[in-house]
Amino acid sequence: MKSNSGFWNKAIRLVLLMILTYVLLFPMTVALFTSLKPPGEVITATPSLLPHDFTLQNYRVLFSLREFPRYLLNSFLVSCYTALISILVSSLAAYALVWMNFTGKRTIVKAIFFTYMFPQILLVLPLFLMCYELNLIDTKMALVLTYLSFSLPFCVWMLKSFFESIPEELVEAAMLDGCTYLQCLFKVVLPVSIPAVTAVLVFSFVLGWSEYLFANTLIISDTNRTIAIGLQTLIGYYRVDYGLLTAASIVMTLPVLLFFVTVQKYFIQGLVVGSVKE
Amino acid sequence: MAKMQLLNSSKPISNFKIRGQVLLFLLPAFTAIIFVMAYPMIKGLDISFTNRLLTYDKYSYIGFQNFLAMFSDNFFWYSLVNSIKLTFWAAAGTLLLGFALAVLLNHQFVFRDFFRGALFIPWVMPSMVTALMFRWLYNDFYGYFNYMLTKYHLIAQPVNLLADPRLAWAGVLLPIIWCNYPFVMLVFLAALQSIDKSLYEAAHIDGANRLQAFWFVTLPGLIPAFVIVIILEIIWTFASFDLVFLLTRGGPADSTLTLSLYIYKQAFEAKLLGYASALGAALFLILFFVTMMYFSFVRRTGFYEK
Repeated sequence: MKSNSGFWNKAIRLVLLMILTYVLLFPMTVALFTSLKPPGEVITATPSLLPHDFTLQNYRVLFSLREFPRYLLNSFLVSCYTALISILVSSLAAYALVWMNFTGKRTIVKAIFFTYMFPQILLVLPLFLMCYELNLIDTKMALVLTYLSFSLPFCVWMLKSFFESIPEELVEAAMLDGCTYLQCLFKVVLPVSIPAVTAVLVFSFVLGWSEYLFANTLIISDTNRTIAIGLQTLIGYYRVDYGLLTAASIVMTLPVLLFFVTVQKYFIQGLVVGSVKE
Repeated sequence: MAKMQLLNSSKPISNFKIRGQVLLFLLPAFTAIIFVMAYPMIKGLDISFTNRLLTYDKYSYIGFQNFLAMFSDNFFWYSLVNSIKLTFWAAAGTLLLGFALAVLLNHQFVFRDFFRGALFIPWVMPSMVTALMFRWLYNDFYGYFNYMLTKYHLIAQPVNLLADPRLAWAGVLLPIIWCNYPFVMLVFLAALQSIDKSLYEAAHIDGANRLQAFWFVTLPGLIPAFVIVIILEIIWTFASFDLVFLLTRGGPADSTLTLSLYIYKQAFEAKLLGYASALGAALFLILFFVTMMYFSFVRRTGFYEK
């Protein structure tokens, strides 16, 4: 009897979860299928979820637009630089915070967490002015620099919690063998931290890829636009063409999802450890 | 000798040689954080005492005039109240949904990892894409939202959700909850899994039924997670910008104008950089207060190590 009630319990749970997942992922489902519909099926008062004729027409049009591949490339470059600089700088800092003793360590850890919670809107005005004074307005460099302010705190935080789980003996053994701190970091610590390193890389890449506010204020010319702003530009140009717009959204989301699926486990772990430490 | 010391101490010892190394390791991160955060912060505060305009380089210091003007600015109070309202409802919705999903996921079953992963997706969605998807759903001629509502006769006429001053709130709130719940879900899930299983056994032996066990064992165990999630949601939603801006730009008729949008508009549309910075300082003060609450809570419960 007990196992029977357990079965029903599980079944109800599963059905509820399925309904909720369906409802919550519905906006994405609609966007995906809209992008696969021919124009006539997009603009109809009685939309069907699944397209009657699957077509890649929207995607073909999208990539034939002169500016779209440019937006993608810009975003890719900005995101890659952000990710690479983030991992370099944050792994050094996290290493020092975990394996070196010095005064003021607690304050630094706290300050890092404080900056992690810092809202973008507060930084956008002074950073805009700074970039203006340094002649960086409308450059990709300005974007990479500003993105560091959001990626670094999180990356240090995440790497720090991962490094703490590495057995001390490993690091000590390397030090006894005559490794310098730097060698120890690159030859011992980073190779055993591949999951955390990937998660940090992905996090900062995705941050650069999807950021909107700074890309919107710091970039002026069309040639330097990232995909987030590019999408907005497309809304302006092709106002009613939701087939094209959803196709662009899918293209923009694809790398994010792909990355996310590969590092999901570590990413989720790191996120939770970062905010609820038991 | 040095080797002996290394072996004996649990962590490498500090001496002047290491101190140099520490500097070397922390310097890049420090430089970056000072350059892109600390310095801009101070600069922002500095500008808030000036009458600087966005497009004009000359300006002078005007003392507290910006702050005095702020107190008699009806739009400041109006947008502040809007921000508080939005934060409250968004936090309530996010917490409820995240908690419900965490409870549903907190059991061993075959597709659990799949559901957890799928339900987490909205969190990684770029805000631009989220805004676009919801605008498409809301579309008053061809959108799914109106189609469903009219089809099942819940409403007689299609509504343009984002263009109606009374309804735009709901239109903004939905996507905000949509992209914030996954984080809450994960934190609650982690908290649920950390509750000692023997407590449930003890409750069972004492004759507690499932509901009582939930009420007397699960909920008390979740209180720290609740507080942390609420504070983080307040910090994030209160200053959030992207979604509201992309969906309504504060409109229609300023009905969804939040404090962060008001700051943006004052700076980049009215070009009043000095005044916008003063508004930013006010926002910072509010958030600083909330963050301090967070830290004091964390310290009291010993949630963070050392």
